[in-house]
Amino acid sequence: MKIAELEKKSIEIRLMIIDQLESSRRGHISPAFSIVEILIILYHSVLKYKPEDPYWEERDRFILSKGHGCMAYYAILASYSLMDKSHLKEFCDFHGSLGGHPERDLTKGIEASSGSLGLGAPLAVGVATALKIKNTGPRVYVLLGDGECNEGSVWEAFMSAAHSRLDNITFIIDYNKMQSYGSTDEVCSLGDLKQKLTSFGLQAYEVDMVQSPLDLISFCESNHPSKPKAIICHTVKGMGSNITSRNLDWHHKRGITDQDIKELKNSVENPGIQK
Amino acid sequence: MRAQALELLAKIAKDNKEVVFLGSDLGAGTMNALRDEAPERFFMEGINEQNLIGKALGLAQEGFTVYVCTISAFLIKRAYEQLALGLKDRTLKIRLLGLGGGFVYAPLGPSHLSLEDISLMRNISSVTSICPCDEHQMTAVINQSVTFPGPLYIRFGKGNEKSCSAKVPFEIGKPGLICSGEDLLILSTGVLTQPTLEVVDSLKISNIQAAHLNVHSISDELDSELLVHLRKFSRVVTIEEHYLRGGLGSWVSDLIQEYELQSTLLKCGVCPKELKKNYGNQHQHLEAHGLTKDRLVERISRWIKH
Repeated sequence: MKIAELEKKSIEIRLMIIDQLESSRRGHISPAFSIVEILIILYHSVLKYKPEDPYWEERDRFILSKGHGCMAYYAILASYSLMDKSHLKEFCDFHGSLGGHPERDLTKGIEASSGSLGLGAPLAVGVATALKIKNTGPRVYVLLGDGECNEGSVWEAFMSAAHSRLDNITFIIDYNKMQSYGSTDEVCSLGDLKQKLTSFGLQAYEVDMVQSPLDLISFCESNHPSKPKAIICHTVKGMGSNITSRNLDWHHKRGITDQDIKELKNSVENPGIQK
Repeated sequence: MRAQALELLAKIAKDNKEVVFLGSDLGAGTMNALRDEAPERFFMEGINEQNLIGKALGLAQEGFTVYVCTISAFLIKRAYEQLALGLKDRTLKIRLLGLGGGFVYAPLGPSHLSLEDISLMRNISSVTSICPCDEHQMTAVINQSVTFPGPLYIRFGKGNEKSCSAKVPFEIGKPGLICSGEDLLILSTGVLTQPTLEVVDSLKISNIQAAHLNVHSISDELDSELLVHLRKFSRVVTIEEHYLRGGLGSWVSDLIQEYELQSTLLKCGVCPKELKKNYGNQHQHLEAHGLTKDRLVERISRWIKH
């Protein structure tokens, strides 16, 4: 994948996120925007899957543990033909099948339910363990939020994965430095995150998702026998729009107006990504 | 009860490649047989219930039949949210093995008591909770659990319970009628089933003929199994080593109210406001809460005369 292709695809996905907002008039926009590039790279260049066979046993398992980023996830699944695009208009609708957090539905490519932060990591450990028992090749990728790493269950999962030498699992952290109330440093600092991950027994990497996002591919593909991987993706909260970028108001927004939609679309189509 | 059950499970697991066992820092030597025979399906995790339950859910999601074992108080309460969310998937074959249901761990203090576990699991509609009354039932539960579709919670007693159910066929989901009677219906669950047999015998001496139904399986999905019996009696007693709210007695109370049955109900269990601060042993706490044979006979006799 080339950078120009990634940039073009990012705009397409962000517009698909805004399409969902047009229906729901509410959502976790910034948490979705910050993971767009991560998801594109995973679904374009890293994950093995077959859109025509969602139950393919050899598929890689992707788990969105930061479930509130799901608008990006749904857009990706639709864009990569795992889900019919028509479902996007149902986002948060009473009769719709896509909610504010994902629920497991392999017919749409959704591998796991999430919503309560911290629970995807141990679930992923279980899935990875199962694949080891079956002695099969698929890998497990689980995407966590930085605020989510406040949860003890995440660190229990890290310890367990390292202790069990699960080298078929990659924890990816969307490190956008902000959570709902304020910056991560203000609310619950993660300190030297890479050092923490390393000391927990994980092979830890860092990627600058603004300057060199494609590095994510090679880190995902690297192999470390007997060690789980962690990739810290340095992103920007609300990335891809100068309206949402680093703006706490857009962590979750309700009552989104037609004017908001218009301005968001315009800001995405004319990106000024904050560095 | 625990030792026999785990020994049987180890044997079953050796030959059933879809069975996986997860423990949480259990006693030394636990399940060594499985650890040695099938180490890839044996996991002794640390003291990390959130990881334990999450890992179990992930394994079950991938098609394994997963037995998860630790002290009931921690197994059910510590990561309850994960159970409530994860077990919405009724197809998951998770078997939660809760050691020390009720007052078994009384000497260790209130942190180790499990008196609300059935109530909590009743509110996860996919789960069938099973309270075996003796080793005969525990053996049957473990055997039947391998193929049972859907999640199970199995509440372990202390062990060495007197055998009391051998004459009644055991099937998960079907209460066992231990004896018939016309004057009242007594429903028991778990290890209080054995003293309930003695209660029934004592009541006979006073010419009170009680039917005794052993309700080992508890789930609101099994309403019809109880209704068949409840409709026949105007006086009903429930006996359980559990809080009065939410367990067997509450289930029966709910049914009487929802189906407008003409029954009066006496619930015998543990009143949370009266929980004792004492340590001691299980029997002493059962005595203090009126859940031993003599205390139950006295209470039921008094009640039935009104």
